[in-house]
Amino acid sequence: MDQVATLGVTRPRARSPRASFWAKFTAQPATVIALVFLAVLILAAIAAPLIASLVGHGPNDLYRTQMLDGFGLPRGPNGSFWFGADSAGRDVFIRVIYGARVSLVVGVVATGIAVVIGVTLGLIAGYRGGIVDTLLSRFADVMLAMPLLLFAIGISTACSTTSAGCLRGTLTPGLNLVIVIIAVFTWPAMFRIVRATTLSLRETDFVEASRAIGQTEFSIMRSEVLPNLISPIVVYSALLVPQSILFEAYLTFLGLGIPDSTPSWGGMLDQASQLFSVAWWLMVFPGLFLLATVLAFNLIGDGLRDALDPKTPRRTTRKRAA
Amino acid sequence: MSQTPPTTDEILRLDHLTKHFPVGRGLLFSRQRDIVHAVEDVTLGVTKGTTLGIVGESGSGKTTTARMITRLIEPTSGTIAFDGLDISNIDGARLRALRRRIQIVFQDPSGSLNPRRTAGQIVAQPLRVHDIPGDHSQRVAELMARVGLSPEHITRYPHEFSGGQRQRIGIARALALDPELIILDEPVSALDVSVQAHILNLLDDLQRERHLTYVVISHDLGVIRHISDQIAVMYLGRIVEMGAASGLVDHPMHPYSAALVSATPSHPGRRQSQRIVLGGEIPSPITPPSGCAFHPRCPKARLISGDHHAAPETCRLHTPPLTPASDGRMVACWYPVEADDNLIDAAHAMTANPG
Repeated sequence: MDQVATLGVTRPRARSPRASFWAKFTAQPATVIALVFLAVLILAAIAAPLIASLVGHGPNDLYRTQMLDGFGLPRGPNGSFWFGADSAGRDVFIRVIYGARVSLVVGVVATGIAVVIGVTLGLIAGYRGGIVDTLLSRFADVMLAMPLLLFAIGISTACSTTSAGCLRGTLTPGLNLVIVIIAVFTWPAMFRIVRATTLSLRETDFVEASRAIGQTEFSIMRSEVLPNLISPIVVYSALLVPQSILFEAYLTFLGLGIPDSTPSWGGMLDQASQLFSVAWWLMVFPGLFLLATVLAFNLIGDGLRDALDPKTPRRTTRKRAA
Repeated sequence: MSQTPPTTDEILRLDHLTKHFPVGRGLLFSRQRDIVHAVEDVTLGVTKGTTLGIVGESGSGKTTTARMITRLIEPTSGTIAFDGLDISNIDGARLRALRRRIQIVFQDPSGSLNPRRTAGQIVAQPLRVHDIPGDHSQRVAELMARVGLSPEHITRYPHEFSGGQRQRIGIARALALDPELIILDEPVSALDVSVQAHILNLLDDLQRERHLTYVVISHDLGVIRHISDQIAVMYLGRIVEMGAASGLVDHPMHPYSAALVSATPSHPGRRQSQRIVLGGEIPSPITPPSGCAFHPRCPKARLISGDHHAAPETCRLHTPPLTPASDGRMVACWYPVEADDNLIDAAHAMTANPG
């Protein structure tokens, strides 16, 4: 034992990394509120059909006589239509709930694909280095240099002209197309982060030590380097989700994303723009939900970054040596 | 010791080992490359169960030599023989098998332990990688106990340990596969002086108990002298002097060794005025000086030439070979240090009148 070094120094009771993570993660009230909001939103999205049947309004049911006035304009919020109706007489509340499904699915799935591609390629590029790194990095640079929105509009227009889609039917208009477009354009950001971190991890002594032990390169990548990438991956994923959600909303707003029969926040905002002067609720409710969801994911991303960064001081009281 | 034939109990032999690193300027377009002469023509042997200490400043090539022995980097030329077998070019399953016999302990105990793994997982890693049969947790507990850690440490993470404890974990990991040769790359230089002694004693005990062979790399001659049987002094990629530890420290024959010895604080009877203060820095290994690499800083060369500013032509033009001297010593110097040489004043005159 290094008696001299440890004598008289009572270290704070060692906490498991998980417990310490939760303590730091939940220390910020904003993070907790964001977490609760997202939990409720996800539950509501999952239970959307149930909510619809409880309220008694389907997402595409038309309530022309009830909710449209003599001029054919929609009526605002009331006791049974909490968020009012849209120009076709559909219940905005129910459509907002259903829209959450689209946003969450797009956000999570597109980010998931981008993460898988970005992490895999980033790990290979960073760890292998040399020509592999040069090629992959230049490719990622090219992707990042593409005018994202223009390109996305081009692809979705090309693939949406007929319902058969493009690339012999592999990309059909709608949800899948939106997800693919978003994933294709967001992975390079993840790639760069993973590559840069891997590059520095590759030079660490513990990787060298694993090599000296005789561990294979693949096994070192998977079980020594990857676990040390978890923090940046998790944090950046949480920040990619809202970006993807917003991007889906842009595309749908431009009429290139999700077809009108599937309620989505972007689509609802698009319709609202024509009637905003007489029907504020068309824009306010989907807009608020979009804002809150994006904000919640961003707050969680920040919270994760603080919690996973060992340099953030613990907010709980530190026990001092007596 | 290129002249002496390898004895049967020699476990490691380096023959004309050389490592040049190309350093590129520009990634794709520039063809122009500089060469770092990290290790130049190193020949030495290590006897089973003994400790060879390699001492030198940073940039002397000692760490590169260590990493070549563990095959973490490939030699440019020359051979490494381990237990009579040339290991300089083996790969695949044979390299993997070799990994079980040669282990390395790193300088920075916090950097060499994966922060996401517990101490127990780190020590068990070699057993897992090599699919060693048997109860790993039992073996880990034994190893941890042997290096002076307690059972409750097994589930802790590296950041929860002190520097000395971390180095113990690194040593336990190196011991896990029962290696024959352990390379210790600055094993204690990141630790407090008080902790250093504990670790050095532990290494000493382990060596006797398991008949281990050590190659210890350090810039600290005090540490090297404490644990080594043989010492090799490296300067700018070359061995300048090599021999039995006590003899070399008591009577260094190379002017550079003499300067190193005089600068070691623990050397008995030394006063500040007795220190040989070398002028300047170790030169760049990209453009090593001609002839003897030490000649630009060498006080002895000035005594020979009688001029503060210039070394003799021999030193400037011809690289001295490592040749046997008295009592098994090897020295690479045209004018080895003699008892009545006043190197202190010669060095002082050099730094006082910079050319």
